[in-house]
Amino acid sequence: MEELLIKLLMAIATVVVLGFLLVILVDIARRGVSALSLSMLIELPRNAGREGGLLNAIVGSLYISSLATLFSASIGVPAGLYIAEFEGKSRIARAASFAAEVLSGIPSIVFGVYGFIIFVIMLNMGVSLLAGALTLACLELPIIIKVTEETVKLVPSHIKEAALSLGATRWEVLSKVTIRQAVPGIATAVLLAFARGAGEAAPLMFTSGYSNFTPSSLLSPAANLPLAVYYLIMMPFPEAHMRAYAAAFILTIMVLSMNWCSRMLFKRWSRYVVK
Amino acid sequence: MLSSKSLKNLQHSRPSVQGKIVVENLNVYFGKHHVLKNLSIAIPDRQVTAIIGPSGCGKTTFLRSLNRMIELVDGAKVTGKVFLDGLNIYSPKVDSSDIRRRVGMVFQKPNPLPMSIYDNVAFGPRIHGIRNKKVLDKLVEESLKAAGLWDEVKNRLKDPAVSLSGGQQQRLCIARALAVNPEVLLMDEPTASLDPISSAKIESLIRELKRKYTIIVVTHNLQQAMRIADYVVFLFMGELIEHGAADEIFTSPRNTKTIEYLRGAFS
Repeated sequence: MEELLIKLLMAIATVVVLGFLLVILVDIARRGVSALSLSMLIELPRNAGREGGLLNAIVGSLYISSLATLFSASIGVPAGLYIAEFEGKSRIARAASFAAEVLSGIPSIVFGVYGFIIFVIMLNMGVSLLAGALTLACLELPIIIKVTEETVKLVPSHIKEAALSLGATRWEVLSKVTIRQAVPGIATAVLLAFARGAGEAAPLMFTSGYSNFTPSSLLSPAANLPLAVYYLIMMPFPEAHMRAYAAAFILTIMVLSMNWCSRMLFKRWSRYVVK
Repeated sequence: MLSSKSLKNLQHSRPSVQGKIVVENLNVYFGKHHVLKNLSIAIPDRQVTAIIGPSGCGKTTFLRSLNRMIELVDGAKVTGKVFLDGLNIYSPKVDSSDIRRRVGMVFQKPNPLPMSIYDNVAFGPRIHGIRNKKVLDKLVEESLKAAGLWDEVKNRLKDPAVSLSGGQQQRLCIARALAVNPEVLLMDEPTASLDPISSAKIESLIRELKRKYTIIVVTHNLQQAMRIADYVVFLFMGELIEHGAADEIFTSPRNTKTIEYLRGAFS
């Protein structure tokens, strides 16, 4: 009887989750595809977004998310490794782990506000691609740190023992064995962070701004797809709404293909991993 | 590395008994727990020494104190001396990484590294500075041949080590240990997780390898000890109860504890 009840609850939960996902995907695809055309992908917007394409937002999103992921990965991966290896012994490691935890709970609009204060105003970057990427990097950082940390902590101790018993130093174990075992997980962390960053509008609103052109330098403003959706849907013209759906569709495809890529990579790189 | 002066200093404390490994008054503590109690013993060169005794008697701890792997356990404390060819491996001047190269180890469960078959065997030589591809190729081939695995893997050296069967993985781990050219091979219940056929292969491999290496095997399996051991060490509750030539221990043990254990009164 209890088992039946639990099974029923699980079935309902599954149906609700899958249902929402399906409704969103089908609706976006239905409306997005009808508005999608080649010019949407390769042209800049004209006539206040009512004509032309979304090239500014597509290119902007790719630039901002890639840069942000590059920044956050180059800090987050070593930080995650450090925390996982030294949490027991180092106060700094414990503090960093705690900070990452807190950081991951902060709403993204708050990142936007502080990104504006710190990067745009204090560091004098102006509303720019760079300021946006750095703000987004702060938002992605805790994801990369936490997932890297978890993956590295899962590396079985018998693998490390094997290397140590051959005369490897702690550093050799970390750099040649632990990382090898953790690479699929770390790569997943990075792609996950990219996908998360690519979908964010709030942190970029005040930091990278919006532009109808593709960015010409790190210090020029840059558009992005989530903000394109937001601005277009707020416009009082039906043709703009169609373009919003097209932007949402492109964004969804981008994030989904990123997810798919990460799965493929994970599979490929897991070939050597010890289970 | 050791200078000639420090070598001379170390030689002052040479053990009085002969043996590849000579243990003097070895005590190991985990926190307050006294695990090994004042062990003194000489392990003969190029023979198979089996360490037997009931669960929890300190067999694995003893084995791990012979290549300083014991130091990796949090809260472990070691006192006493362990001489490897007259060199006290716990002397502060001695580098643990150097000792572990000379005293190889094979674990209870096969533990391949997350890389290819080739890279597993080449790992040790590489960290000890061998870069030359030809030298590495030769070392890998020789080690795999010595471990009796070459014919099974020679056409798939780039495959992941985890794609091998359990018994093959264990022989790979032996090959990996041999590749750094050790003098002693420590084996912690190397067949415990293997099927009978794989176990038999490992046992005959052990008999083969003793011509070149001093081998110390922890085993739970008395029949196995009888099949492979030349010398037997019996531990009970962290104490060395009896040791001697295998025929002697198995046919005419002197200590009552040994007699009871061999008779199967406890395990």
